[in-house]
Amino acid sequence: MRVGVTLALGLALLTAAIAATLSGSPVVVLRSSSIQPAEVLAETNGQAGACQAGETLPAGTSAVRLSLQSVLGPRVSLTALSGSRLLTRGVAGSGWTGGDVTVPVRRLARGVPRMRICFRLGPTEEAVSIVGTRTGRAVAAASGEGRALPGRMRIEYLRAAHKSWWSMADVVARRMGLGRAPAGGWIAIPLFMLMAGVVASASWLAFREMR
Amino acid sequence: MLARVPTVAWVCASLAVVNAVCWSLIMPPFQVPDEQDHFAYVQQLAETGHLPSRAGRQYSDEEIVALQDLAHPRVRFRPSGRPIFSRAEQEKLQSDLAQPLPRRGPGGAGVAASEPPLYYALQTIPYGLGSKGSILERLELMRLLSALMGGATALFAFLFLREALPASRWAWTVGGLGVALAPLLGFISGAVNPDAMLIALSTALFYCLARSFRHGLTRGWAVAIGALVATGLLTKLNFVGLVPGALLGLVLLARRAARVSGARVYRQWLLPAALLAVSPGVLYVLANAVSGRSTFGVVSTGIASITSGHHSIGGALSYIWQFYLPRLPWMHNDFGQIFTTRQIWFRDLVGLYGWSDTFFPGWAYGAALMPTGLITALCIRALASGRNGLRARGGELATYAAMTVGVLGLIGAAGYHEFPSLSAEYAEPRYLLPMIALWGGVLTLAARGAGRRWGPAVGVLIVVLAAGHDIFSQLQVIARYYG
Repeated sequence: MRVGVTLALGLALLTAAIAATLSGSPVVVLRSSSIQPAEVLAETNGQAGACQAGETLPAGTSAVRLSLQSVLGPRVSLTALSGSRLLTRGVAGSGWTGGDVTVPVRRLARGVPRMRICFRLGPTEEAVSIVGTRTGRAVAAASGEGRALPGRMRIEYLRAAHKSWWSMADVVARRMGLGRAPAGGWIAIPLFMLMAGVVASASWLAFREMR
Repeated sequence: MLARVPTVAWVCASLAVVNAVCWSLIMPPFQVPDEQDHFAYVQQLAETGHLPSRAGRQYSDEEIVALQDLAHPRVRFRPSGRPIFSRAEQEKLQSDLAQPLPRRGPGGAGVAASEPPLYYALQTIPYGLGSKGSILERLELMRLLSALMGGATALFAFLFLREALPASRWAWTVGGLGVALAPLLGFISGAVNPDAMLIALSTALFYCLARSFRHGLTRGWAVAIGALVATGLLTKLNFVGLVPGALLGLVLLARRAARVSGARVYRQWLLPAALLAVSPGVLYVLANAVSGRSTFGVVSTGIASITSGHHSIGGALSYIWQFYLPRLPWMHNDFGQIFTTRQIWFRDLVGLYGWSDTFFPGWAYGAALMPTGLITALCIRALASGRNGLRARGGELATYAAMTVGVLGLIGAAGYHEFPSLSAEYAEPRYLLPMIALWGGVLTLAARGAGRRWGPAVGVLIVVLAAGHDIFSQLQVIARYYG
């Protein structure tokens, strides 16, 4: 009895958690600096930073993604400035990995053109690469010391979409069927059924062995 | 042996296979670490009958076109990168792959080139079965073979628990299902990666050792252990980390058996098993000596790199310690403000997929601390209540500890080779999967630690937690690539 009730409660909680998650929204890119992360502009060993002017902060931005690359990234502090006026700020903790880092920021109701994004890295033993595309000096990003970098980095402005994952189910299924074999959005159906079968079988086995 | 395997173990194995198949359908082609290199190795072997001749990324035209059309460079390492989304891109891919593209290339296989050939030789079978299809069809067939290896891992994990924890009959299922549903196992076993076979062999090794410690060593089991070690060394070089511990276990078992069967055990059981175990290593040394390369090959290179330049033995030990654990007061700080135990290993074991570019929202890792802490506490409680029995099993526990330390040390040493230009180059959780049998043991003990009254209910909750972890990992991967 105790095992059965616990199993039922556990599965109910799991189902509720999945439903709640799928009721959430994906993150969408509101705006991008349209720079391809094609090459390394600079490498730094932490405690350094850079600023990039000529950016536009879209209304509703809740996170900013920077094209920084590291295996074990340091803390990243980000500020958005219009002249000397602070628009918004945010921090991403250390330990991130990969080709970009997303910094959550305080949401702004209004968009702001011609502003400057600055970031500062925390201490680290490992090199962090600033990745972007070479540009002319006049529009290039600048290091924390004011020295022009060889180009601009890719900056993306993100927020949660106005639609849920449930509403995107058919789009996601279609995308899952591309670039693979077997191809076709139908692949999502057997995938769902197989995983449902795995969970059901595991639950039945656990109940049978432990009651 | 197979006739005495309980049905529950087969069910765990089947669930692990299905789970890995699901992961193979979710992960886009070549978005599992180094999968393009492993595929190139198999293709080189299948098409030419020769091993890869070079370590560069010089693949066949067919593979190069596939990687280009799949937008592979823009996706890997970049959480913002997406695979192909449009019908036009799909049509271009299908059109290009329908061309008679050469399958023989210059013989490059990237990071896989230096690996032993056994896994790749087995993968030539599904490669051949799909030879009339596209590269993507062959890749999926090869992924299915790896999925079968995931099933073998779950099977041997259950059998290990049956031998290592005989008093916990009802709780074996907790550990078996916990292994079968481990998302990291599904992720790796759903891809073309020799780690899938390495993990299965290491879990089988744990089982053979546990069985021998419980029932006593026989000549057959000694040979089986030796054969597993030899097979592991022919599968992936990482298996070297397990060898000292496995040989220690053999010696301890032989000593115990000699008290009953006499000194002949050393000559007739231990010696053949040990020779069988190290035979691939001996062949490797001889091959290098004959070809004029450094006699101990990668081992010589590794030792030279540790003792040259800024590196030292003391520095290596300090680095390896900090690679996993908090720095001790007298050590140089090699990782800055990074708390490696939590920010690398715990975080990545909770969820890091793709090319280390797919992960949960930050709050999820904090939330995972609670169930992890509870499982750990219950496991410790179970161990504490059975501590008298632990003393009697000191040799067995020392064997498992030595195998674990060997693997951890090997990964840490590889990371030190790249230090300081890269702080934690090999800090990937999949490298810890050879010890997944021990994780099954932790889950089993946690269920037992909840006591006779609540243990089964806690066990069921652990299984639901494992299923939830797996599902949410899959959902996170789907969101990252297709959202």
